[in-house]
Amino acid sequence: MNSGNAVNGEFARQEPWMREPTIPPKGNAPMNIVEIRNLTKNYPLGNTTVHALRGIDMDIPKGSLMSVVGPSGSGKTTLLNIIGCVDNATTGSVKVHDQEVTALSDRQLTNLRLNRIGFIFQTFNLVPVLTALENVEFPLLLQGGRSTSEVRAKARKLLAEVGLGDHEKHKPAELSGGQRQRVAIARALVTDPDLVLADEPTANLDSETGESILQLMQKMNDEFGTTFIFSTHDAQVLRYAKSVVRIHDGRLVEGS
Amino acid sequence: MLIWRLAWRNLWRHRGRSLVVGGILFLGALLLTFGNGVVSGMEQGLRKQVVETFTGDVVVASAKQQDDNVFISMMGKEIEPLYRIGAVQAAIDSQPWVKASLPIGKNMAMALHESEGNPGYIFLLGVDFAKWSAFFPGSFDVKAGKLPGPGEPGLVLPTGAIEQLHQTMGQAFLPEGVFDTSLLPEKARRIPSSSIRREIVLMGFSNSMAASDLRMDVHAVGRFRALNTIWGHFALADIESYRSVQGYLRQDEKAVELSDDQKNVMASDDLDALLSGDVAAADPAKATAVDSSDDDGVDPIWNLVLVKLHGGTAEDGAKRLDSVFDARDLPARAMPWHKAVGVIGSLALLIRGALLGFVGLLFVVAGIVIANTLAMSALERTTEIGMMRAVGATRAFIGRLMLSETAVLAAVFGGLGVLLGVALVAVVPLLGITTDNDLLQMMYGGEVFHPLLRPQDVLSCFLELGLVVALASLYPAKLAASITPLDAIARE
Repeated sequence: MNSGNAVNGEFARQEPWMREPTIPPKGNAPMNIVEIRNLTKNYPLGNTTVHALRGIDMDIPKGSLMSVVGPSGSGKTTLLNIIGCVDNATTGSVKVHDQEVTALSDRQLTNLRLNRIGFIFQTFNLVPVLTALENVEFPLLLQGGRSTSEVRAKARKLLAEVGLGDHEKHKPAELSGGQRQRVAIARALVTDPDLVLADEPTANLDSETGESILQLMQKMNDEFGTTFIFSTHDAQVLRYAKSVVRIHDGRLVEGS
Repeated sequence: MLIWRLAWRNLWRHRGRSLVVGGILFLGALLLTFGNGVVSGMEQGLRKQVVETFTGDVVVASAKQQDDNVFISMMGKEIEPLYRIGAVQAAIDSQPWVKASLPIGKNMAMALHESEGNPGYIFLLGVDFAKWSAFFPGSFDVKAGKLPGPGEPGLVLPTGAIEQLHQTMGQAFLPEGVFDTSLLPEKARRIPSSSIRREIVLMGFSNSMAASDLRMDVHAVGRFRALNTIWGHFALADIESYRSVQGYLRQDEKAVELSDDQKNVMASDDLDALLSGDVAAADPAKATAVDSSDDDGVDPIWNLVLVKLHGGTAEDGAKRLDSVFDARDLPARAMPWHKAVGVIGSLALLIRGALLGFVGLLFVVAGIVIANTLAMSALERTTEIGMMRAVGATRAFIGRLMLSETAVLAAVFGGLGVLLGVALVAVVPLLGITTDNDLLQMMYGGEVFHPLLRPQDVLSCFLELGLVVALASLYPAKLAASITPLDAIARE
């Protein structure tokens, strides 16, 4: 991981595929899964402006298991949201899998999230009316193009990988916090994304369950080479990260 | 498939809300279906009662007759005489799709008060009683007296006409020898039987300038079997008396061919000119009622010909008759029954309009409640919807999900409402709900309450329901589709 690189002129150039809602084929992935240049994010708050991010430059290589660390309000979540294409940058450039996300339409961003990015939320956001297996199937069904049996088989395999093979038919309300987070991890990985973003994935779990979740992410990173970026303000979980970015008042303060 | 599964389970998960929205849809669909059944039944019943007791399917009038509304026309407005009745009726009767025809006279008449009181006004029909009874069998229930026989002059007063005459003239009329005051309006029942009038002096209201007054015996009183509230205002006279009252040429009179000089004098307003010379010898009254253009001789004058058809719609029958009249150059024109009875023909349409207005209002309120409930539901589910958007669901997917949820509710609850409405419409006639009340008879379209649903009515119920649900879902669907992943994250 590098940080503090200058903005490269090539980022300003818009490739032809950027204008299309389709996603470039997997393979030939760039070395850096995420490239950020001079990223700022400002929020209006009453009569004042909150500067959530104040000029971030960073590259995240493919296959990273990176933690973004910082106190509450430091800008971790904002950074993850922008990388995850759920929030817009005020200025700067953000490339995910070589795509300039600031130039994409809502439909293109949705397409990118569906095919390239997995999400694990702090509060294990699963669809409450679907079973564990159906929750894992959900992104695959949105993608389409697969038979029902294919979708089911893939979801079952992932659910078994996260240790919930015997909880397929349980609804989220019938699962513990840790189990729900495992389902969320399986759902995040089922589309074979290049990048999984997890915003404080252990915040609502007890330390033992939290560690098991991080171990699972570590395992998935090792086995599938999936890039994981997770935010935390818990120093105890940092040992699972292969790299750490520290953020304070919207600025990167240290990399390791 | 995924959307329908999600929709169904979401509805089940939020059962309370689903029941509220579903209940509204159920009630709306039920009222709409049953209401449509009532109006269709009324329409059918009204058509049957009007056509079979009073007008026939098609009414033929003079080509000069401008207003279609020949039965319930404004007071004092004459119905044009129909000339060449022989040729007109022959043309009508020669059509294989015509079942029967009946000429009648129809105009207003004034009942003169013989003691310097206010006169009364009634609609007067001139009929051949035997033919009229055969054309509308069982349509008139004689309560006292009897219908005039062939060639016998006489007047038949329905209860409505007696009441109307009493209101304006303060006099009560009954046939000779009848003392049953229950046949009179309630206010007239205290009148001493010696004061009950047995005859009436009528004067025509036609524009012939030859209307004369005629003293007529009241032969019978009675009621029309259906819709007496309306038809009860029409007194029936034998056709010859009717012609005398209206100043029309009678069957037993000869037409007088006027010289040009006589015609000029007739056209003059100068009374002196009229009283000088030989022209005074001519009978001006009869002369005015002659259609001198009639090459076949002079037919007695009627106003209308009522026509019953073997089948087909009244509109088609009227159009076909018009073509026949045009082809034979006859001075007549035809109109479907509902145009001939003015507002009565539009009654079903008016009540349907009122019902649709009521149901429309209900649906507007229901639509607002549904839209509000679904919008609240969408906002409550911001986290869930935002998460779906984060993992790759498009705005269109979320919009379709919301529409699907409402569609399931509409199909289940609205469908049940329509089915129950259909069942009610099928069951109600079996209960044999009848009424003697004239107003209710108008609502029922006859004596028996007989709602009726045709397949197209049921289809229209589904379409209207679908439209309301679609409109009510648009805003919530749009609202849900506008939820972003960031909205969900912001709620955490």
